Amino acid sequence: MQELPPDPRARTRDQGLARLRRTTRFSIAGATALAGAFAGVAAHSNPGHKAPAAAARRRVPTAAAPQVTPVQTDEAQTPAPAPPPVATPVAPVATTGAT
Amino acid sequence: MIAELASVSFPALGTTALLCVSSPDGLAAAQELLEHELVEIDLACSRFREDSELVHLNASAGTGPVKVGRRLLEAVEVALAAAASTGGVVDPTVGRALRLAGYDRRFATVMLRDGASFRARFATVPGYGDVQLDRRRSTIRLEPDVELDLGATAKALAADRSAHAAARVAECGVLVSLGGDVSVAGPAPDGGWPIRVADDHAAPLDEPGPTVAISAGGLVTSGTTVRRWQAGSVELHHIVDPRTGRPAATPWRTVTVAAGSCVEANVSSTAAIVLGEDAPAWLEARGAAARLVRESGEVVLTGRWPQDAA
Repeated sequence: MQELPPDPRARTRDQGLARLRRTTRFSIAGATALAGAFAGVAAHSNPGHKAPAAAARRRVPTAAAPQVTPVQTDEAQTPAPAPPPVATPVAPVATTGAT
Repeated sequence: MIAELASVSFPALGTTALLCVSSPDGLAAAQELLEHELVEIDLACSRFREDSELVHLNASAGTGPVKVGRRLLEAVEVALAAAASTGGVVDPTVGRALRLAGYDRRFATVMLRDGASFRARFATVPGYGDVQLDRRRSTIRLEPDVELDLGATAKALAADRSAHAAARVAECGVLVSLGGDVSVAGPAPDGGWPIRVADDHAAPLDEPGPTVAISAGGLVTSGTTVRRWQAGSVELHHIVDPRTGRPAATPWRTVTVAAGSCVEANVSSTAAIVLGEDAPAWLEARGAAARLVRESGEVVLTGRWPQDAA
């Protein structure tokens, strides 16, 4: 990995990065808490709610790709860095590209 | 082993939302939550609807602090953190520069304008130091002439929030893509979520291009080839370089970044577009797994982006 140049803004950048991670974790924790409450309300108000007929279902073979660790979902812990992407021969379920 | 996935897509935030779950039984609850999140984020952060909190906040520039809702407060806080982490390369105060350059309405409407007769104007970007956010009081104050545009981070934040919340509610793995800003949460399918990397997020799934799988975090592509408009005899795009106030002059057609969250990925990919030739070294310094594609088609990889997915 390439060394950072001795930039006087490096500390500001690092502090900003840390703030960004904290803020994201804070937001996700809040969203999760709200989701629980929202789910409870939804479950009571829509018993027996079914998936829309328009929803597409795909069968994706997954044996060809390597096993990966499930994501941490406990927001009380500092999430581990995401594992890097891996090349896969599996048919894609989504596309990332410019908007 | 075969994993059965279920997905649904629908228009949202001027683009397309895609929701994919690893258990079909969880789709309805996840979709309900996602739709709720998108309504909330649009009402808080849209630059194009008169009833949004952001429009009200931008109109207040130069006056006293404005009390804002939790959603906008978070979105601005994330945007300011992104600006600090990039030394102002990704800066939410580009709103005025973007508006004067011609991105002053929903993009579908921009494209209906007579571009040949449109004359763009350019403005300096005041910088994120001109935004004061008080979390305790839930207020934001903008200096005169400051207009915020949260396009670089709010959509990614919504993807992160909704993916994690939906995974908890649906009790399964979830992928949320908002215009190609992908966030995944919960237990991923074996092998991860396979995602095609293309120039345009709206490209069909069988479009040529590498496919990579992620099991956590986010995957985002920023580019200058899709959201473009005509201004007289030139074409402009939507990623403003805060140092010049003009659409970034960049050698990169697209930059795709994988990171621990969709927000982090989006900040890095947007910054890389702005940084131009300095982007690969900058991404390497951050340890970012990224794929950069030059206008010529040449591909540059950084970090732990897989060589066999170039």
